[in-house]
Order: sequence, then structure tokens, then C-alpha cells
Amino acid sequence: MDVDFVFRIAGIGVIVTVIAQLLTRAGRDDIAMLATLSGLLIVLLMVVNQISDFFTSVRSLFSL
Amino acid sequence: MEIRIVLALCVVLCGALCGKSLSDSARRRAETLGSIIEAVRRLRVRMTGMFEPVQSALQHADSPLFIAVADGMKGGRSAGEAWEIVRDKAGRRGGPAEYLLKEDRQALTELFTDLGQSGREEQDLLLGGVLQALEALHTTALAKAGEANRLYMTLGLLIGLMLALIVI
Amino acid sequence: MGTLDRLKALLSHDIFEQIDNHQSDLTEVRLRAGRPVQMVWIGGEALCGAPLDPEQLHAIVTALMDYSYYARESELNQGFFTLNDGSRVGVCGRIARNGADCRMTEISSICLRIARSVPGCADGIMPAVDGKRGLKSTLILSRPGLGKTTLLRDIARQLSEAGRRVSLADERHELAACRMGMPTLDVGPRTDVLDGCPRPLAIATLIRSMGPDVIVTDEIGGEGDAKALADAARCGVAVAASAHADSVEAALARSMLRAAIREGAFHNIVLLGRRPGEIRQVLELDGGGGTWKSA
Repeated sequence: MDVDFVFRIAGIGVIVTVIAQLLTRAGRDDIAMLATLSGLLIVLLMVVNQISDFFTSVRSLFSL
Repeated sequence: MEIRIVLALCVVLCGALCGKSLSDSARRRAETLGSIIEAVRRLRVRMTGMFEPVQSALQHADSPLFIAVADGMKGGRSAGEAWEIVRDKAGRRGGPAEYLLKEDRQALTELFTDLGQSGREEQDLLLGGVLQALEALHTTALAKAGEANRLYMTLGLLIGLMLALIVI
Repeated sequence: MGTLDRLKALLSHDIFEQIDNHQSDLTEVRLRAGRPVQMVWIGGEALCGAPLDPEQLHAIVTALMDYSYYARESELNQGFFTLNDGSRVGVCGRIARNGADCRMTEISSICLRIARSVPGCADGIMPAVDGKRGLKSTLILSRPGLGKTTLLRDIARQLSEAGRRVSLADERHELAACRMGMPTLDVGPRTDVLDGCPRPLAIATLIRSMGPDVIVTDEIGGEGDAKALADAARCGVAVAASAHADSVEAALARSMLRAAIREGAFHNIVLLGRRPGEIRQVLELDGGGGTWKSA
């Protein structure tokens, strides 16, 4: 897990927050919600491998 | 490394341009309203200043929408009847009223229903009233277009940035 | 679309079917609010169909005006308007007065006179108008509706085709029925039309600017006409005109016509008969005696 990856996730998080704010201010609350959820989905997709590795590690640690 | 930065910048720019084109319909609405206002001004001069008959005045008002209504008047229809026929077709894709909203069409319906049906002073009042209504709609349309332009460009920029972050 | 076709589209068809065999010589159609339509033809008339609603009448009138009420307002306030083919529509209704201004506020009935151009109807009087002794000013007298305008139109056409420079002072748009600047009725190839201009001004302007051999105008009798006609005569321009009067005596009883006739503005007087287009008599000025003899 390199720092690069963490910065990317952080950057995406910031951008999604700004987008959601802009849309809320423009009165498009429903699209703001959609944008937030999409951001979350994208980040989850990005980290899904890491999560899979994490669970594999936990299993091997506790020999499950 | 440099290529990656350049690629990232390209993606961001693409995003901004996509956003700008999305805000197009608001801008087109404002433009259409502006040209209709000019056409109504010309119509007013021709009708109440030069006493030109309605069909001929509509044809010379230099607006594709008004020309369509003038053509619809052939066969002895009134301006209001011609507008009813033309309205839906003009509102479709590629038509002269494509970007107009319901309130814009309502103002035009009020114009055409009474066009030519009364004396010079009443017609002058009608056209003056319609001009005022259209100008108010135009002002709000311009404001909305500016707002939409800023919003969509910013959104496009941000999404482009996000894509650049994800992919590059 | 001709006037008759437009009327057929605006009224129900069965009204016209009732007078089927008289359609070709229909002269007038009279529409009245709350009463049936009256059709008048040469030799008869009939009331046809159901009574007209006032709204129906208003819709028909607006349609006849090409939905341009404001453009015909000044004519309407004088009690008439002219259709695109030269047919005159007389209008009756309520007049509201604002000082000297009169305004037609409600229309209760209209009388549509169907204009017909009859080429050759002036053949009988052309020798008097433009004969061996050249162009002679001619006045046509008759009651309303007997074809004076049709006759004047044919005179203009024939003179124009014979090579004369003809100018039309068409104040009421009936002689040439100009539309978009072009005459819709045949007034001849060498004819200039001043459309809608008040007659005295029109005559003076045409003499100054178009250099005509003859000026043709209809329904003289208003103020200023006598002076304009005298000016035309002084400038050597012949005049062909019409006026409402049943006889020479009736014409002389009208002060303006008396002034024009006594000043020698006219060399010929044509009296029309009882039926449209029928020429009853052609009179010629008898030397300098101020009397009239048969031509």
C-alpha cells in the first residue's frame, strides 16, 4: 500500500464533497446525493482489492 | 511523469468542455428569446407603423418561428389557429422553438391569439405587453444561462480531475 | 382565393347551394347579425340559411380583413373596407364619436359588393373618350352599384393599351386593387397607380410627377375635387371620373359637381342605365353654350 494510493483516495473524496456542495447550492439535491453515492462506489471499487487482501490476511492470522 | 501530467490536464479540459456543452440548452433558450424579442419589435413597427397585414408582417419579421406561423395562416386561418398547428412541430428537435420553455410558449400563445384582431391602439398595447413579458423572461433566461454555464463547467472540471486521479 | 371562394369557406355550403343557378351573376352578399344571409343577383335576391350569430359575423369580418383589423381601421371608420380583389365591403354598426373622430366599435351588418372586371364594357364610349378629336375628359354618372368603377377600369385599360399614359388616383383601392404595390386587376401596361392617397392631393401629385395624358379616378364630389379637376384641365391633362347622380340635373344640384361641370372640367357625360353596365346615354358639351347634346 503506497502513499500515492492514499492521496488518490483523499483527492477523490475532496472532489466528490465539492461536487455535492455545488449541486446542493444549485438546488439539485437529488443529483448531489447521486454524486456522493457514485464517489463512494468508485472509491470502494478502487479499494476492493485491498479489502480482499485485508480479509485474507485476517483469516490467515487467525487461521480461519 | 510529464506525459502523465499532460494527459491529466487533457482529461480535465475535456471535462470542462463537456460541461460547457451541457449548459448549451440554457444559452440557446436565451438566444432564441432574444431573437424573438427583436422580431416582435420589427412586427410592431410593420403593423402599427406601416399598417402591414398580419401575414405579410410576420413573414418580414426575420424570424423562422414567425415565418412558420405566417405559412400556417395560408388557407385563411388566423394567427392563433396557425400557432396551434405550428407550436408542437416547432418545439421538436431542430425546430425554431426547440429550447423554449412552457412559460415562453405561453407568452407566444397570448401574442398570436389576439394578433390582428383589434384596432391599431389595442394592437400596439398587445405588442408592448408581450415585449415586456418576453424581456422579463429573457433576463431570467440570461441569468440562468450564466449560472448553468458556470455550474456545468466547474462540474466538468472536477469530474475531469477525478478521472485523471483515478486513471492516471 | 377569390372573394366568392373565401365566402364559401366562411359560410356553410348549403347557403350557396340554394342559389346555385345564380352564382355566376351574384352581385352582392349581405350579412346581418341575427338575420339570414341575403344574396343579391342581377334580377333577384333571396334570404338563405339560418340567422347569423353576432360572433359568427365578427369572425367572418375579421377573416375577410385577413385578420388585420388595425390595418383597415381608418377605412372601417368611414364605413367600408376593400378586399384584395377590389370588392368593396360596406359596413354598418355602432359609431362612437370622439369630437370630430368617428370610430366603428361594433359591426352589425356588412354588404359585400363582388367586383368583376368586364373587359370590353367600355367599348361603347371609347370613341367619345379618345376619338378623332383626341382625349376628352369624361364624367360617368349613375346610382350606386351600377358598374361605374368597372367601366372606369376598362377605360383605363383600353387607353393604356392604345398607348396613352394613364395615371390612376385610386383613393379607395377599388380601381386597381393594389396589393404589395402591384395592381391585381388589369388596368393596362402604361398605367401608374397612386393607391390610397386623398384625391385632390393624388391628382396634383400625379400631374407633377408622372406626366400623364389622362387621370382616372372614381367617386368625385368631395371638397377640393373641383379645384384639382380644374388644375388638371389647365395643365392639359384629361380626366375620366365617376360620381353618384341619376341625371345631369341631379349632378348639377351638388355644389362641387356643379362647379366642376360649369368650369368645363368635362367634355363628355355618360349616364348609366338601370342594369349594371348598361350605358343609357352619352352626352357631349355643346360648344361653349354650357348645354349638353347627345354624342
